[in-house]
Amino acid sequence: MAEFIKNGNEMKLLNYTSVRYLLFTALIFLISIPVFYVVLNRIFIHAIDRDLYQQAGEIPLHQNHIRSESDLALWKTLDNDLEIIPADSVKFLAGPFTEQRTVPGKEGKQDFRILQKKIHMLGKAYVVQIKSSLIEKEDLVQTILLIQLSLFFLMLIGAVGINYFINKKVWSPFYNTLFFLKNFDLEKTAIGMPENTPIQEFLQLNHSVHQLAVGVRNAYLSQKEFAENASHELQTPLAVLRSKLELLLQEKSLSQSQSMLIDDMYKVIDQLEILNNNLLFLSKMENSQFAFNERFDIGQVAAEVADELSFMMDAKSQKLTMHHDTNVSKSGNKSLFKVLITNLLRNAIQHSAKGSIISIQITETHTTIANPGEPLNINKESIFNRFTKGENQRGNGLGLAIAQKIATLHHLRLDYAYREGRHEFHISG
Amino acid sequence: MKLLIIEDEQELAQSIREYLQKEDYRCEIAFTVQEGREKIECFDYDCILLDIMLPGGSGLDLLEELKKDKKMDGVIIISAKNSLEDRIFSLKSGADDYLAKPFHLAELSARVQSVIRRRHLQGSNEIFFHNLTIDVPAKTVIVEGKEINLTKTEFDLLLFLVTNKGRVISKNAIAEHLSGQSALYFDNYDIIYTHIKNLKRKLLSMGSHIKTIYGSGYKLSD
Repeated sequence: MAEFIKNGNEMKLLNYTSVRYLLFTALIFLISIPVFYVVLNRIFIHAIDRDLYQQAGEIPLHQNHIRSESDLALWKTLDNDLEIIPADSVKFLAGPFTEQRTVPGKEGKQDFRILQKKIHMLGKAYVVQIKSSLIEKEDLVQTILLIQLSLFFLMLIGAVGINYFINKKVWSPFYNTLFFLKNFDLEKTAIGMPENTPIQEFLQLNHSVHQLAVGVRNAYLSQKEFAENASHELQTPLAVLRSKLELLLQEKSLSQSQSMLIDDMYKVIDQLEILNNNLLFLSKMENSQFAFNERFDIGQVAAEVADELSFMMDAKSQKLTMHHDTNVSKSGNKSLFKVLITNLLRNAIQHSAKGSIISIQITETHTTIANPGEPLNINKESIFNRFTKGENQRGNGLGLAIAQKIATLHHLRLDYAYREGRHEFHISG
Repeated sequence: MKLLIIEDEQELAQSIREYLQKEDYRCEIAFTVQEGREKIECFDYDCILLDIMLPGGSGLDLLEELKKDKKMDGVIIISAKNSLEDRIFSLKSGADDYLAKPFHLAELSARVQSVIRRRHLQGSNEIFFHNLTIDVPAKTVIVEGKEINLTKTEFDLLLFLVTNKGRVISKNAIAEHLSGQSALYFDNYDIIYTHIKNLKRKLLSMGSHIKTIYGSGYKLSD
């Protein structure tokens, strides 16, 4: 499940939509500025051109008043926007065009829009050039663009901000449902309901989530109940059987062979009992019925286990050597961790010869339990599988499966290796 | 000594009664919570053996009622639920001991006697058997006025034999009692044989009271 959620580029839903809004607005902004500039420019030039044509249309009216060379000279002087040039000294263009010219009294050149018109005056051909400065256009376009830029900027902030807050409000039932799911605990007796919302989709979601929660919980409860009941139902006949055998053992007239039969039966009952206990234990772990919030010292747990198993070690004249760094602590469930160490150590005791030396080594990163012995005749990978048994196996093949499960629940790795004539179990993580 | 067994499994309850009666206990049986409640209200018991899952309720409720009424009866919870939570809860609620089913009757007998000793013989917690005196808290053993030096295992073994005197205890039950582990994990019972041999030697004249029942176990006989 965890791998499925963490894929590296996760982001919050709100950020997801906000970033997209931001990108879209920026894109529109980038495209619109040049487009706007071009359009404005064209509109302005068009207006100036119309003006120039209108002025050109009025020229014949003025032309009628020019009767002499001195009239012409006066006209040239009075009308600054007009240039009257003999037709043979200039190239004639039919439409208006833009040209850069120097303006007296000002530095640099300015853009002018110019329209030419051919006229005949006093028996000569002239070209009249009507010009209009474009400097106002530059100012106007700049101002308009500045206003537009500010507007866009405001819109950007507004859109992203409003979107963020609206989304936050709109998605709040979703976050409530998420919170509900995150805090959903199978162990808790009451199933709270995600908060109510007027939005239909969220209502449906909440309804489905609630149904799922109730269903899962019911399944969990019935499984738990089944495992516990099955164990109880098995445990009781076992207890009766064992007690009856013990009473039978008290009979004075028992023969030696009858006593030995009873002893054999005892062993079988023991097997059944442990099998039953282990299965119940595994199902409990699978139902995650344990809390993992204790902090404990691994060295101390190992010492307790060693003490509890000392009788078994004595029975085989085995010795235990324990090396541990001081205060190697771990958080999790202490009693489960103790079962893990117990199973590994008991396994080591059972699978090594009389008089062997078993070692436990605890460092900050590793806990290793090793015992001398012949190489395994079963597959190395399958030793943690349930009901995998080697030769001379006395247990039910669940001990290492339980150990593996406990390690996994503590986010630890349990590995097996055979090195220099020793079986080694490493707990690391 | 009066015992009450509150256990819904009749066969098991009768086995327990039959085994414990040999120790001169008067045993009564209740099969349901209600029956148990009535008996507890009317009589005082030295020790109550209480199952958890019972018809008509939980044994743990009965335990809480018992403690609320400040009854002095010793309580041993016998449960098929070998769960840590139940064990912790039982002991917190004031039970004297917790024994998971299936148990050896010899083990139960030893626990019952331990509870009764702790509750009744304040101060002098001694057990006598012929010329043998065992001081349980001090862990000392005196045979014919002479103190005997025993190892911890030998002492536990002797106490187990004495609390089940006159009855055959299987090697299986001894192994489980001494190791705290299922006897299943032992390759053989040589270790028990060795401890019994040493114990018999150390107990001098009393050593001959420990009888070997071939094929099944040992017995401390008069």
